[in-house]
Amino acid sequence: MAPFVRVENLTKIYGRTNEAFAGIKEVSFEVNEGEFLGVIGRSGCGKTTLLRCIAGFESPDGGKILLDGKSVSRPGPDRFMISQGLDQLFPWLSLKGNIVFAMKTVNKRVAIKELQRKAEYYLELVGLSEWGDYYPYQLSGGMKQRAFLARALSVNPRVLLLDEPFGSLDALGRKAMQDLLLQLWGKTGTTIILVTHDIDECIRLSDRILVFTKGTLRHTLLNPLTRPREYDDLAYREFYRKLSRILERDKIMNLTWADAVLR
Amino acid sequence: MKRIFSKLTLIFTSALLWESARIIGGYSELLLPGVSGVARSLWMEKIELLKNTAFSLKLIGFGLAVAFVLAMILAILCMASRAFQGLITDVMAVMHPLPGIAILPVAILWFGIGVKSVIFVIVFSAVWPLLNHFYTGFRSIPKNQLEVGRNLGLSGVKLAVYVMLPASLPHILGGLRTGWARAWQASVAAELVFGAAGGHGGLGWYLYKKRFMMETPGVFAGMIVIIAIGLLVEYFVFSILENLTVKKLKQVID
Ligand SMILES: Nc1ncnc2c1ncn2[C@@H]1O[C@H](COP(=O)(O)OP(=O)(O)O)[C@@H](O)[C@H]1O
Ligand SMILES: [Mg+2]
Repeated sequence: MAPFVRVENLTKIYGRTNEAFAGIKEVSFEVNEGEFLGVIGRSGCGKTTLLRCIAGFESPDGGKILLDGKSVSRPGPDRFMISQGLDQLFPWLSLKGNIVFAMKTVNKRVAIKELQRKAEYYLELVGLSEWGDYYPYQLSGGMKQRAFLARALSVNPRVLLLDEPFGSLDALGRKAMQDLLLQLWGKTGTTIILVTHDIDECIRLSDRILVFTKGTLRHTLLNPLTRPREYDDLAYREFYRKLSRILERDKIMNLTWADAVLR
Repeated sequence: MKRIFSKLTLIFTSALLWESARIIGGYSELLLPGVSGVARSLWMEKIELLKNTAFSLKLIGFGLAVAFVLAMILAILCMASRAFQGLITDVMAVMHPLPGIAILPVAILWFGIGVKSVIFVIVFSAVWPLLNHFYTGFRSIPKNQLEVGRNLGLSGVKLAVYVMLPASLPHILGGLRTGWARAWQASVAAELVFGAAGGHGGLGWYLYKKRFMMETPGVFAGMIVIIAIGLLVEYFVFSILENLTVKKLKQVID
């Protein structure tokens, strides 16, 4: 099967300062249709940059991105991104209004009645049925994140891009959202690229894991665990140790960008 | 209710002071007409006043609309281009302190005495504060919201209409408020100073005419109408608009 998403030699540099650099350099990987891909790395290693390039918010300085064989560059609803931050809903629209607006913008021909029915369906999927008429300022952080998911799914993206989506939640809320995300993934079969710096989150969710260091893709690991994955399984602990050792080693080596590229 | 009462009290007290100042000072009707004289003038000339008010408002409405569109286009261009933004910031710094009425002589040179010159002054007076507010409003839109719009496939005019406008509505209303005040002042001044509307009308022109004919109560009547319109627009149009939109949004933003 041909890869669904293909990233080829992707480079994005935000301007140089002596030996330090910012961005990503010559990143290549593939994602299969329906796959749940995890991207992990320390803060500042270029994870957000990668997602923003795929989403089309940044224009790369080199390389290309193919979706289902076709090159993509401008933003579009086929790659829907949930960014960091809780200010992603339009404050002048109700929760349901936000979802209807998203669907209407993507699909102009569907009647509003129909869209409202659909919006209710997506709200139900994320457990926010009762909150459709509320405005964003009336929702808690966790509810907003559910709402982001509902809106993202409502436009039927071919790839869902998630940038540390549960970063602002406490441990319990985080686990609940991870379970919800897995459940939605099972229902919709959407291809997902999830960026995180949380090892547990990455292991619990992903089929495959890309490890980034200083803007380069350093390792690709297949997640050997069967689902559902529990923290206290022996195999889980073992894989956790392996992944954290890799991250630790990359840190100790403390590569400059030039080193990383020359290797 | 309480506010209306306090306003009525204020009006009543002012009238009282005015009348007693006239009686104590013994000024002639030509210098300081009495309240009753002005009221009579207001009543007798109500058609004339109404006509001139309508004329002024028509010019302002048109001028404000032109300034609004112009400021919107400039603000969007500022968002799109760094270089343009720099240029406009400089132009604005130069133009902003220039009172709109100061451009009237130039306007008369270019457009002659008449409605066109008055409209030019109105547009010029309103466009800079409008632009300033719009641009500030656009810049205050959270990046994430703009990107959600782009992610949904919106760009250019559609992004402006569906995301940028509603997101910066409080600033846009604030701009309209300042723009309106400037336009109102400018139009009265322009009509007044040279009778620039060329005798077609307007409240400024009305004042000019009444002073010329030494009908001082008429001058005062005109001034009262000018104040009244200013207050009416402020307290009705903008308060209502704000209640409908901004108050709700402000809660939303907090
Ligand atoms: N718009 C930008 N301009 C300049 N530097 C940037 C910009 N965005 C990100 N960077 C820099 O690029 C590097 C990678 O950032 P990012 O992709 O956000 O990392 P991550 O998401 O992994 O924390 C960081 O050093 C960051 O400071
Ligand atoms: Mg990031």
